[in-house]
Amino acid sequence: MNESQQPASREDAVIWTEGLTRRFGEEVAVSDVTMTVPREKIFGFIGPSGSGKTTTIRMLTGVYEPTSGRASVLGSEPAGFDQRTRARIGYMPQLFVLYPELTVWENLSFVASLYGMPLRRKKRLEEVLDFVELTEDRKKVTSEISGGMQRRLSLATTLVHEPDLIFLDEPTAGIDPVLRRKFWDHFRYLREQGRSLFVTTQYVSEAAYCDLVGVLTGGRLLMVDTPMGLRYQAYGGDIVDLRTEERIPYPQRQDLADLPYVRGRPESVSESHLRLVVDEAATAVMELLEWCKEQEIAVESVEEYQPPFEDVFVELVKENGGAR
Amino acid sequence: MRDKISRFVDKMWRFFIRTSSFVRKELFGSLRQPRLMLTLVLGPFLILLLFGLGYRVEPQSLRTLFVLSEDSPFQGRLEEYSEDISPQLEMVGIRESLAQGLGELRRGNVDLVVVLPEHPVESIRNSERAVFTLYHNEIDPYQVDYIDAFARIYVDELNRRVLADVAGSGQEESASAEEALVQTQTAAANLRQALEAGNRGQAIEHRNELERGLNALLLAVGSGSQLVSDLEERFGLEESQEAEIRERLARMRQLFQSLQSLTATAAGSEIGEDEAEVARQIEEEAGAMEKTIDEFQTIAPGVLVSPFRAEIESVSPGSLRVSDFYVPSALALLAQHLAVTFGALSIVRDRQRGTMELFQVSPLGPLEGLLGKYVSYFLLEGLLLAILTALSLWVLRVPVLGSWGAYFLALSTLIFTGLGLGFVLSLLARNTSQAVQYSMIVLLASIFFSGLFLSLQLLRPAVQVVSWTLPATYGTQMLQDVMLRGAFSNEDASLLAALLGMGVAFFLAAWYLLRREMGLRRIGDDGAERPLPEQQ
Repeated sequence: MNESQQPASREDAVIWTEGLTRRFGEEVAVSDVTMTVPREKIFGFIGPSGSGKTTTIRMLTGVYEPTSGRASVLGSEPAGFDQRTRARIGYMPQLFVLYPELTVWENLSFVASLYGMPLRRKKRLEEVLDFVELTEDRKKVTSEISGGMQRRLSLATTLVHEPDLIFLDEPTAGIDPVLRRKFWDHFRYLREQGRSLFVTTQYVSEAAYCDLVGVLTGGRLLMVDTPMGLRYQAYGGDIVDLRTEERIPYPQRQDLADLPYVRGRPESVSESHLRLVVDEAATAVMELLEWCKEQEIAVESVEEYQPPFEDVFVELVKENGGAR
Repeated sequence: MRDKISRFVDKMWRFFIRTSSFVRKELFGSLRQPRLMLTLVLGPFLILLLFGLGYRVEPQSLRTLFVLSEDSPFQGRLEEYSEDISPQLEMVGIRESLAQGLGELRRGNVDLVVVLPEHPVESIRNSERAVFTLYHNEIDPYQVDYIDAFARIYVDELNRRVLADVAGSGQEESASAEEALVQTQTAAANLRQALEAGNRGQAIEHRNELERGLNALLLAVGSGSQLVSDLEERFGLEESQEAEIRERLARMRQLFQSLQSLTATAAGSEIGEDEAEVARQIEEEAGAMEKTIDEFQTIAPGVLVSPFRAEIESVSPGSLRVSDFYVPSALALLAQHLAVTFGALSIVRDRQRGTMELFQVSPLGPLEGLLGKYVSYFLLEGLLLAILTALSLWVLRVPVLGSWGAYFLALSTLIFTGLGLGFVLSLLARNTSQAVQYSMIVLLASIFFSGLFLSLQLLRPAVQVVSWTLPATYGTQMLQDVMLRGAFSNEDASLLAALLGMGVAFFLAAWYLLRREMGLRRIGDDGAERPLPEQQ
């Protein structure tokens, strides 16, 4: 884990949990989750469907009481949230839960009222609609807008009261890649404004957009790290692709594997393409070029390879004993 | 201190904003569905209108088949014993055998088969009533009751007509009494003149004529005036006409006796003025009797056999149509049903859609949410009922005789209580279809037990307990009194207080359940808690 990304103490954290567990009868939905989420960061909570992401969010927002363990959100236990704390939290459920018979504007205004926003709030409502690019659709009845627009409206209602901490439960589920990208742009903008985001997703690739990522599977939190840290942990180091003009003979391959900064045996992607796990990609690239020169191997390219997070996730799950 | 006040004002202001958000949401959402609004208003109104137009006030006519043999004494007089007796009896034919008649009845070609008695006179002579047998094929208990009542009225009317005929005959006999009276009067006058003239031979002849006249009079008066006499005796008239006739008759007999002995003892002697005076008195008595007998003759036979009739006057204000009577109870039922349905679907829909989770995370408190829903549905339903009331007044012409304040109060309390019941049902239901089922059960119970169609007096006391658990029962009683009697009695005030109490109880129960719903989800050992929408 990249410790530099972790907050120094629980007091500085926007969320911390300790042994957070939730059972439904015999079934364990979330087991022993301990984590610390720093302020003003995007914390990605990644895991497959049914891994316990929503249950965790519900415990952190005070909807569910944990079976055991503790949690602190914005310095308070979720069970004891007062109205002020609740007003500092924004929550976007996974499903569209607003009223289909109301217009975009009326739904937004309704949620603004739920948060006790003053009646002179037109400017703020317009701002947030503009932020999610729904200004021109404000008079449309919600049942008649597309699914993507409904997601954007949901996001707008989550942000309308300018919360400090935003829980987003699979905000990008079921939307097209372009809109998904836009959503992440919005999230980064919110982070830059000083807000903290707790985002669940089952799109592992979205881990790359997060500052910190918690990997959840089968109700267990496997690890929390930066995206790079996760890759490193998944493969045991950085990955470098070595492409040569001709096939490297077996003895030289053996020598390559024995280099001090190379970990494990090189993987042969093709005859002239080897993939190596190294301590640190930046230094390893230079040293590999030097080694090839010494060995009179004609090099086509040597560069760091960043495996997709799907692969990283699979590796992590494999290493940690697989999914439940 | 100032800060405290400022914080309190801010808190209350936010409370108001959160609560009012539901009002705007419900009103905008509902008004955006004009078809729904039309259904909610026009649907019930059209049903009421159709009922008002379609309800038949006149009794149902019965297609009737008569069964009688060829030699029946009723042959030739059947019309008199059918449609003439009752306009509801529509004679469709005559059959000679019962089997034929019953065949038609089973095929549904007729409603009633009347079998006339074959030998009515023999039955009566044997001191037995002659039986008219009526066959029907009804399964509806109300129709069976109607036919029973119809049969009773039919036979009563038949009996009355027979008696009227008999009474008419009696009156005809009294005509012969009048002849006898004239004979008596003439004989008495002739006797007096003969006595005054001292003509003994003529006097004896006229005395014999007088005796015959008196005997005839005695016979005629005795039979004809008996009905009147019985009536007069039953109702205790001290100076009855019949008694007067008999007294006069007795006096005339007595006078005649004295005259007879006088003429007998004075045979061969002078006839004095005393005899002439007795004859004059008999003449006078006969003259007085003539007037009394005339009075008896002028009484209609129908009156003699049915001397009484009922005249019904209501002390309630105005005359009401059948549809007028049902409008208050229909309004009460509708007010309750709308409120229960609005309430029942409201929270369960929020739960199923997932909006409840949004409420749980937001600063919205259970009381704010509940009050918001109460106010919004109250206003919405108030609007619908105002339109329905206006339509009832101006289109159905149903009166509101009492005060509008009482009307508003009764309806408002009913809506408040109905909404509370709906919210409680909504919070107990696990899903929308269960909530709909609950509200339909309440509706069904209200149709049977709230006094809409059946008066509460027709229900056993144990079942009336069910009636008084339904808000519509209170609403029906109060609205009927306010709209149709024009009064809001002390009893209505008690009903209003009871209904309000019930509403407050529902409110508290709904608040408690919503607090539980919006609070933390506790973990049951069996994990059997109400699930949130499936998301993960």
